Amino acid sequence: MATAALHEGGSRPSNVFTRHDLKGDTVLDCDVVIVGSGAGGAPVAAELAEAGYDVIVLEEGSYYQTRDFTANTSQMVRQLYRDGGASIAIGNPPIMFQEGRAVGGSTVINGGMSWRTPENILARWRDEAGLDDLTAHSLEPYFERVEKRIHVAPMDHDAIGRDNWLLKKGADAKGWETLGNLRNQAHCVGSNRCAFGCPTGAKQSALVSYIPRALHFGARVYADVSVQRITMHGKRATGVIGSVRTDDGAKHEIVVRAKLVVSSCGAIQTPALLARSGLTSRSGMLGQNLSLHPNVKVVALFDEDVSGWQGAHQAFQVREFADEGLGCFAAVNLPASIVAMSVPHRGKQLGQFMDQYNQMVVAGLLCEDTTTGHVKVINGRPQAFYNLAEHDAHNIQRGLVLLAELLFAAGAKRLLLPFHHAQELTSADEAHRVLSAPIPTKGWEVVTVHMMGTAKMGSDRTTAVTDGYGFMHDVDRLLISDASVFPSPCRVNPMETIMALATRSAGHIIDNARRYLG
Amino acid sequence: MIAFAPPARPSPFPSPLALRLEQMPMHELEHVFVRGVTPDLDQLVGWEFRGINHLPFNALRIGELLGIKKFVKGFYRAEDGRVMGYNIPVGRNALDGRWHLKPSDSEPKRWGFFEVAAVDPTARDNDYLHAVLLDYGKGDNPKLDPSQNLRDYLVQVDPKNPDMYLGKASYALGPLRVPAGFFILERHRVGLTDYVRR
Repeated sequence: MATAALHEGGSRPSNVFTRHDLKGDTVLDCDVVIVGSGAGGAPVAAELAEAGYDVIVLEEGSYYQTRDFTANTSQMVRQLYRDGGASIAIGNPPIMFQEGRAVGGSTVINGGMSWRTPENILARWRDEAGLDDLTAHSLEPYFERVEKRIHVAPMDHDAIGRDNWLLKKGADAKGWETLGNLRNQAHCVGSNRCAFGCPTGAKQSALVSYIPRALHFGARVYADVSVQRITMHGKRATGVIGSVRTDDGAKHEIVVRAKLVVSSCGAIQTPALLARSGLTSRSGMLGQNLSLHPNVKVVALFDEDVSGWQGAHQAFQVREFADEGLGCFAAVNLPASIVAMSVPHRGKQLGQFMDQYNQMVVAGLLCEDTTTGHVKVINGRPQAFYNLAEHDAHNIQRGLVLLAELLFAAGAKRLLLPFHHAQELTSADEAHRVLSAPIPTKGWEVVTVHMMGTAKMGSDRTTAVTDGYGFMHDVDRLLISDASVFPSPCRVNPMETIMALATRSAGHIIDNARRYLG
Repeated sequence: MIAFAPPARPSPFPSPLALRLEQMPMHELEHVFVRGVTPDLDQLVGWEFRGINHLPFNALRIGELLGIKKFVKGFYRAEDGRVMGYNIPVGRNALDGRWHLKPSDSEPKRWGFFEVAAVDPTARDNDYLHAVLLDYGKGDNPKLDPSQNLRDYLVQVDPKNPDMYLGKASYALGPLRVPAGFFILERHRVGLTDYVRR
């Protein structure tokens, strides 16, 4: 395997360690141990390392570099996604979700959309969670710092693909608001491989932004390490215990002793790690309050050649209905293999359908959910449970009608809905007719990559798991830095909010070093 | 930072909030206690606080029968820099009446000394990290004084009100901690530090 050969070849930085370096049980000491190297962990690592603290980052996934990212979708999914991208939240309907598992975390496989937390969401967090300090003004310096580090910028015009122009054409025809996407990229060429590891390095994921910065300032990154639990002395977190499995099947224990422990494993894995460590919250909310931003997609067929695989991932977002719970509409090209897997056709019919791949626009909508699910730990592994609320299902159906209107206005000839056995639509009128009655959610195809809220922040320890900086209530020196801490869905792509809050938490630690690192 | 400026002459009577807390059932007091915030020791030092005990089975008026329903707690800074505290017995009268210190307001008896410190997360008494611990075992009390087994947690009830505190008492029996009820503290008058200065 090419990636393994690269690991063996020693092309990685000297302070990145992998399963090939760990020959036996290992004990490490540091100031701060961070579990997870994505949007929540990497900024904390970089900020604290830059401030002179001894930082160790543990990552369950492997260490890959830009040169390892290829057009082999199947291989990339297996290497970069937890469970090969096939994680499921059990419920009605079952919702497939994806988590990154590599150094850089989910930032390696996300679309790179970089939006600040909307002010009305911050207002909700202030009102409902007592987070009085979270205002657009107070967060401004953290957003600015993050945007500088990950190079948030509008897309270059010539990197925008035809599918996105068609989305904009339809929105313009309807008179709906369209925003040019802000993404963490430096002159992205539009290879549209964001979700499988950017092959050019243009996308400024944590792998090529924060992690190198942390390494420069002396942080150590240990890849291929599964963390089993946080070690405690009384109510103080004192480190973690994990393990690494080498290629020959041997399992070595790795113990890290630290003054401060940071869990940045994401909203599914963080509550599981805490539960495995025997930690509970007086609020009873640990693992609860799971929000998902449920997504559905449609496949629209045009007469013209679209070649959706050329051009940047999600160059535009239609935000016309964001205040009505429909966060955004976007064109989200998927590789042919994934489209083929997700359409209802079989045999020759599937072949004929896929022959038209270059005429397809895959478009999706994101729903700001009004219900919550939960994460339960079963045999040490997290399992998410989530039932789509009737209100949200209704909203999604309405969104599909609107999206169909947009795509037909842009010139689509046929449209495939995300329901099993759904007929192809040939007009907006037909979309209205088909979607006017409730469709049982059991047969819906819903996905998500935005898991949030399972260790929510709040000033009241009887209702929240963590305080306003992400420190777990009633536990000493345990910071949670990922989307778990969101009190509610954030309406937009969550990466920049996670990074800004992580940067803020790191600043709080530095300002109170005696308390957290003394 | 704005320096705390308590009223020069706090009211001698319990506030409606203190009386309301006294009437609450245990589970509601627990909720108030858990929602409390960590007291600022600088706002305790140099002051004496009116105390009302809220013992288990409060309705049976055991506190009144034992003569320990009302008391005063004072806080001062010792020469070695530690924050310490003491208790003063109070005469029996109506709950909403004045606090008459024994044997006299001007020369009260101070007993049941304790150390006041942030809760050590790694220690045995680490139940409430957001509280401060009143540890009678570190109060240099007489060896046979049963008060030295008391371990009280104290929180500020409302972040905006540094005059009102809620304590949760427990009694140490070896490694065991036996719950001994709650107590309410409300700022009463300038305390020992002021006397020492004078």
